[in-house]
Amino acid sequence: MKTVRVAVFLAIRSVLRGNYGIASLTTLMMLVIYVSLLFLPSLIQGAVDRVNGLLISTVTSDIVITPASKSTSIGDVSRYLGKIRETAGVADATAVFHIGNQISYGSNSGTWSIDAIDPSSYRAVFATPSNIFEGHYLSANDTSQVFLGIAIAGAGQIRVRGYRASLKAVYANRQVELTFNNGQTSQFNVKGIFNNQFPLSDNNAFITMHEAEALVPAITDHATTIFVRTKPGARVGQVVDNLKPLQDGVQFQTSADLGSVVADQVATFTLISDILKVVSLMTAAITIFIITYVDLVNKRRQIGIQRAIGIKSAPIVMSYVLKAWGFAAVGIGTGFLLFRYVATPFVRGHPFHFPNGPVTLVTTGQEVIQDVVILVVVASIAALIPALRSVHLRILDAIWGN
Amino acid sequence: MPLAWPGLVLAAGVHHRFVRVLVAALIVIVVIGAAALITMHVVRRYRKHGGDSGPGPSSASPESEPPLASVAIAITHLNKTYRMGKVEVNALDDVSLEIPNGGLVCIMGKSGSGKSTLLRQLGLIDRPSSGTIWVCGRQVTQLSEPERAEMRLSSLGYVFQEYALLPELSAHENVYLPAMMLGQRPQQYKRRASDLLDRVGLGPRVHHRPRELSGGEQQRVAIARALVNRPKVIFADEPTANLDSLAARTVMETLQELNRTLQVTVLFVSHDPDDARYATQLIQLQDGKLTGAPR
Repeated sequence: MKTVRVAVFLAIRSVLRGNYGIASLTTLMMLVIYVSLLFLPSLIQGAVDRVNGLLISTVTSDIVITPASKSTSIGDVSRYLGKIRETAGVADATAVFHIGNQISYGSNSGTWSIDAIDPSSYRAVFATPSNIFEGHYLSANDTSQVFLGIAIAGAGQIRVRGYRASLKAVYANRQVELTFNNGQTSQFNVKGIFNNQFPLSDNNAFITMHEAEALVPAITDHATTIFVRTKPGARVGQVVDNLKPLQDGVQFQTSADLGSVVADQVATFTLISDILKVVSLMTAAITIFIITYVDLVNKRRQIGIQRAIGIKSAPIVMSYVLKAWGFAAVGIGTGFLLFRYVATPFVRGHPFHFPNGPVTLVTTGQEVIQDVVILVVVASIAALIPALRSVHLRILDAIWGN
Repeated sequence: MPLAWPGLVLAAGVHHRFVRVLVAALIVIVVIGAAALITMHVVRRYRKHGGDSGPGPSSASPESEPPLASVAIAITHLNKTYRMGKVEVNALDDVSLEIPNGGLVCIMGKSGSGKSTLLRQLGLIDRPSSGTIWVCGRQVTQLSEPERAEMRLSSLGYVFQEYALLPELSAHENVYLPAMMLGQRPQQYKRRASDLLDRVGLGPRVHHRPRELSGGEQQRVAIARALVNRPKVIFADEPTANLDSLAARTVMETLQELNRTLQVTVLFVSHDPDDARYATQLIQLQDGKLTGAPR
């Protein structure tokens, strides 16, 4: 107890009556390091959340139902969809039939996925119908109308990813030629162009199921894929278990199963984030080590005197660790307040524009706490090493500054 | 893994991200710390071989016996050798003496005669090369560093030539710091410190920092600090060396008065014959040896 009391006494006096420049600089360094520890991972997490969000809202939904290996489509879709929608945890579901894959405009043509959808249920499951770039979304009874992704249409947007491979100059109300899987070709009017800012979903074309069934009667009441959106808070695994007994000959995948494309991106981001975090921690450790070491070199004589008058090593060392904790606490506290109440709201108002759209800072409580713990541990060790070293000097060497 | 960085390579086996980062950070710190310690150790060894450090502590002389209770300090065959490059210097050469309880003893000698070296051995600031030292009835030459620190704290007081106050503490705090370390209650040690500062004539200046005090005042604060834990012996290393004559006289009178009233043994080093007038016993050193019997 007396050791702690003396250590606290020495640390407080040293901070309050010591060099304010060094104290301010150390605190500032801790602040900058803590903010840098939080900032980049938060930005990366924001980008990851954005990609995950786009994946679910424009490509996979929460659950994807496809035919089992030997089938090419799911039959009796109307009845099956009805049962799915009545299942606990399901918000809505929509059926899609992959009907073709070639689109031409003048001399330009390319291979993209052409899907037949029910416009209203598709809107209930996916956000694509809301991301209109030009024109309008499909209506249930539309005929000879197509809804194109920006990566197919191009629409003169040379900065859009995939523009070079697109049809380049297709705008709303232009005519394009679609080629279906059965070899049939038809002219379609471009009713609208959507831009999800996500390459995985911006290269799709949609026509109405009503039109598709007229063109290819064999697909009536069939689907190649059924997408299911779960209710907020519902556990996807539980919903899959609920859906499994409804029909045989189908298989289930979740957005997580299908997210391997973005999983690689996320893993890359995470690795970069971890490397930067370790670099920041090294900077913190070296900074605190140098500051403590310089402080100790300057105070070597004082430490020698303290030891000569009987102050033991433990409170001397502890006082330096406590000082490091103090600087860390003030720096981290200020850094957190700045990050939480200045940086985060500012970035929310002025988001970073990544290729996948606006990205804000996303931080979890766990991230905040783990950064605090790591920084305090680093600060403690960085202060402990030179302090331990200084109290192992001979008293006379310390007093004489050898 | 494209990165050949050891922390990340080792941490790659740990799946939890938090643990992975923590492990990597700790490895970095340990590596940096180990490198720093090794560097410091090498520098220290280099300095030691080319520097002034003497050999380690001596073992007790087999024929040494505890001194009488009336003796505050007893020394037998004390030697201290410094190494200056390849040359060995005998700072103390077979010194044996006894200092009675309650004495006011002056160690005199020319510069380089070994008087400060002797005081540092007795005050447990340094370790002798050989010989035996008894302080307050306890053989101190073989004590561990924590035991020496405990004895310095509870039984001895030390006054340095250059005041040696802690600049970030007030006069009052400088005085009560050793008492705080001893584990006394705050009211108790604060009152004791105030009383001692009153006693050395610095009552009105308790809250002044060292830089706000004159040399003589700082030295009196150092004397008060040396007394705060009621030591049995006070060592003062040329306490008047940096003071003008008036301040020097005040300091010596303070030491004399404390010696008389508190019955504390005072051992001080001086090369000023004026200071020697205050002493009840005079020890003279020349080239590390006692010259004649103590008077």
